[in-house]
Amino acid sequence: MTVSLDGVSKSFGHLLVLDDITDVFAEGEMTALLGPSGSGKSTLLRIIAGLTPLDSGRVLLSGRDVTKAPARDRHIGFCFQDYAPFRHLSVFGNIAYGLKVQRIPRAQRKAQVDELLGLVRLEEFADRYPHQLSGGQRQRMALARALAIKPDVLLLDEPFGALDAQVRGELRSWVRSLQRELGITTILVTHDQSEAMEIADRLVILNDGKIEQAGKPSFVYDHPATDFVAGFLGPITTLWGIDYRPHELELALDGDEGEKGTVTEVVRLGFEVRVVLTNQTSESTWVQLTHDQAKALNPVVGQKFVVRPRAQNLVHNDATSREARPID
Amino acid sequence: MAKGVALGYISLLVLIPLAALLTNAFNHGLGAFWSAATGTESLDALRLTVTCSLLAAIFNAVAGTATAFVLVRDNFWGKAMLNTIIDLPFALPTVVAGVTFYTLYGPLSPFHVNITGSWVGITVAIMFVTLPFSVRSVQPVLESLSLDAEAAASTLGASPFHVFRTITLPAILPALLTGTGLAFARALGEYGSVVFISNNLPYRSEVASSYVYSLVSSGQVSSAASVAFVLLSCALVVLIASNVIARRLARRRG
Repeated sequence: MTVSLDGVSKSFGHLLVLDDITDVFAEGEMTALLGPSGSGKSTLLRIIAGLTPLDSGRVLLSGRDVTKAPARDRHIGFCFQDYAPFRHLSVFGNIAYGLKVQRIPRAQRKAQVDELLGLVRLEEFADRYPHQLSGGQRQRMALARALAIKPDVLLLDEPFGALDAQVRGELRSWVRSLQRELGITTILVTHDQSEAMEIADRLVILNDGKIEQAGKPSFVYDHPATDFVAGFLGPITTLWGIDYRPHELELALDGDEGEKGTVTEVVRLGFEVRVVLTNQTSESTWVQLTHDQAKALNPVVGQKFVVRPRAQNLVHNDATSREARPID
Repeated sequence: MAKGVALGYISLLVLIPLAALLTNAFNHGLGAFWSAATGTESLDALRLTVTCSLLAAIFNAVAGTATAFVLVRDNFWGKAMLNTIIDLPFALPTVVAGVTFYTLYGPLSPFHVNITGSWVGITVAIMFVTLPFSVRSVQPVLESLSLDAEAAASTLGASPFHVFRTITLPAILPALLTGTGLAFARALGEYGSVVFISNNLPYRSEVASSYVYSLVSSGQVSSAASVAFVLLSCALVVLIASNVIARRLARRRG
């Protein structure tokens, strides 16, 4: 099912949170709504679900106007940031909730819940209560609960925000493969660009209630439409007044072609090594080297190198990449 | 040290008077206690008291929950004022409430509504006095309740009423039970607000507390203590039961 937004605007009091948002989320696609906190991304997700009323504009599900439909009639699965567990119900009861509302007979309901418990690997936790689960388990329970009604669209609000780094990584790739397997149109809200880049087919970058840019993650990363997008998606550095990703620059021995500079700082971060160079006019540029590259050159503070671009610089203001999808 | 002070204070204010009541109730033996407690006038008074208290507690559980909802979830002009007024029955001397009800719903009623001498009048008076219990027990729980669980239920297809019944009500139920239990226990001994509107007709509209008063007035202290002991037992059983159930409900969800 496709989700279309047509000129969606929303204010809280005098604060304009969403300003004329138009975009289409394609069938079966995983989209990440990416932006800093306060950019309006969570509000947009709640508007799609019917949990927050909008001021103007329309929400369409495969062409059907649901702008005025209450959440319960939209058939959209929603996973909340804090998982919003039903505390007085067991894991089984939580997952069965939507099926019970649909008055699915007990035996059939049990079969479906058991299947979902297997899908989210919580078979042994069916009788536990939410407070007896870890963060990752709670999040998988919330996912199973949302999937139980076989929703047309799945919305995830900061789904991995409250988890520690290792669990987050595992769950992220698991959710990604599950989404592929089910082929369900999914929109995920996050403020973590690496998470968005890893998990999404398409990025929609929001800032101040407006879409800054939308497109494939790799394309947006290489061709940011605005300074905001360039800076938000990854580090940038300047050489000769032009923006580059630090890994797009390379170091060469003094005497080769390039900008001459002296190493002023070397930071080793495991696989990545950051080398800061300063030229004669005190302008700094930093270069991101892999461990192997750094080993070959062995840069130390005070040493002289030249810096030069390895690849094309970032193309800004690429009008073709900036536009969100118009509605047919 | 602090424990000693607390225990001493509770003994002085609660335990010693209770022991005195117990001694008085049973100082002429079990038979005397039994005949005083189960005499027709006593039984009628106790039955009326329990019935009216129960009705008032149940009605307040519903109305009090609704009031707490409005106070927590809605925003309107004068909300802070309403929130303060809820506590008025606690602050007001119950006799003042009694006089007010008598003038409003008595023989001199400006609306020509006379509910004196009936269970309706007694129940209304008790409802007024015990309203804060239900509101104040439910209100903080509602305030701390995450709205996301209710939103989640609605995305799963539940109607607003179904959401309330299956998500919100179970969450507030332990507090509601405790509040209702307290209200009921408090209602059993209510005197000041009831005494005028009930007319105190023995066998018909006499509540237990005013029967106890009349017994003491006529020098039958031991019989009075017996009836008082029955009232006390009722209140204690209800308090303990509502607390145990509430705790058991709350424990499951951690």
